[in-house]
Amino acid sequence: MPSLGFGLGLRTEHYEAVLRDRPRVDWLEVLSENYLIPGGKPLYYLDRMRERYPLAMHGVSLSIGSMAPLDLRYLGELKRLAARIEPCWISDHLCWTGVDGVNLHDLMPLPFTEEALRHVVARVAQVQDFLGQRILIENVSSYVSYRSSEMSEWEFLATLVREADCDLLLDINNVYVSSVNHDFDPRAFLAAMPRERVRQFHLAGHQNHGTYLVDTHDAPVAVPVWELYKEAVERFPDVATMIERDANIPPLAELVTELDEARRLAGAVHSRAA
Amino acid sequence: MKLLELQRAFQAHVLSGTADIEAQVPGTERFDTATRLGVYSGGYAERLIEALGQTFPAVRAALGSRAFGRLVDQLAHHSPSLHFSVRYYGEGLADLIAREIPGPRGRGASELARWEWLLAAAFDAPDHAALTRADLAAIEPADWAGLRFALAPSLKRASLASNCVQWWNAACAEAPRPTRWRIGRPREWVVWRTGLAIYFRPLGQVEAGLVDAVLREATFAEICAALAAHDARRAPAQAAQLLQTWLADGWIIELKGLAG
Repeated sequence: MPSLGFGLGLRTEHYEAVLRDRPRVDWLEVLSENYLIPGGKPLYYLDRMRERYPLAMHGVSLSIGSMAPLDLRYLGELKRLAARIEPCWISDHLCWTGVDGVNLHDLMPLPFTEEALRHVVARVAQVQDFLGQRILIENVSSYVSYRSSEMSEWEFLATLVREADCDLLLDINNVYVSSVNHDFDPRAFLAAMPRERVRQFHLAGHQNHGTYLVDTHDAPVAVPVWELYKEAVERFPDVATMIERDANIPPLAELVTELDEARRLAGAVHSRAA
Repeated sequence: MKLLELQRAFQAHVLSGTADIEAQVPGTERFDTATRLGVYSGGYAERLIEALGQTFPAVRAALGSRAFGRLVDQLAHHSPSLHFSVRYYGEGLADLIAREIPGPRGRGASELARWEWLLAAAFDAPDHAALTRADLAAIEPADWAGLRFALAPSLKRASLASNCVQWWNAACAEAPRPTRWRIGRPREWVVWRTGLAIYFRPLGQVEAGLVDAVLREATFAEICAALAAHDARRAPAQAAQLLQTWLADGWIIELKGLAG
């Protein structure tokens, strides 16, 4: 399947500008939870966007790694939204967001154990059966690791996508942030990802706290992340790229210019390869 | 540590600062265990303060960012979110404000939180098509008495004793705040959405009672009887006028109890 090209995360601040300016954007990624509502302005704009762009649905509440039962109400609403906008794909994170009914509204990291792997493989299969389609699982930025981990994150993720028959949303910024926080080689991470499963890249900014990095999506993509992106594009050609910005949101034109940089870098890598 | 135990320990750390998870998380000289865990425990409240600041911008403006942050922090740690979407978190803020802040300021800010929660509910309530005068003109005379009206799902009622709507208007317009919180006799309000726009207006006692009766699915005959109890002579004209206003405001979306 050919790549979707270069996309942006749709944010409410840009609704009018996207409709008015028809920017150089091939597709849009929408935050699923923002549209799991009965009606009103967000759904109105979502339908207008769908008339103009391919959309991908990106969620934060699947909690695929939680030991709590899957939230069938959430999945039902997700499926209804997917029926409404027919997204290119649906993605969420390799994480848990809470147990015992609580939602921390954060992407909590999993221990990379055989127990967690079996649990997540089974849950991804359940979700895919429910939604009637393959989903994409994204690697998260993390700040802790666990003594109980029995394998690396990349071994866990690569095994997961093969065994659960799902696809990968490879967040280049998250790979980089975690590599700094946990002292690993981000290239080893990329090298372990099954080429045929990588469907989408995320790019975003982070904050440098001196001795560690925090994934904040509030700044332009950092230079080392661009460098890693070039390696990712070389390794996984023809994968859709998207830039996320969730805070300090600049005018749309600024993000489109940043997306042009991704196009330029990817183009240069492909020209060199050809 | 098994996965469930680990998740419970980590969640308890984020919510209550318990230490069981610490032994499971190795640190380094550069990035120690406490700092690592702090990214999650500190980020938790920060994220909810940010999210609730979007749902309750006028409460934040009225109380100040620092006091607002303290309240949301307290709410987040004592009554965490139980919903998959953060959009539906924060209803408990109004009660917390009423408990924590004494006097008119607490009562008024609590009502302001309730007000903003209603506005948020109207904002993304189900879409609906409103009826027109032609729909009402087509009703057979014999059907009127048993007729019931379904109102727009975005329509919400509020009874407010404070001047919180004044505070809300000031926050929206970035205008000077009212000089003080005032508490008086409760005033009735209605909030609704037409298309994508949110509207609200105060209601007189009679109209407020009738809206509440319609929401309880009273029949048109019961509505007329209630009006007649106030002023028998003017009741028919008042009923007709109210219906016209409600139609014009897009409140009536369905007629129930029609024969056939």
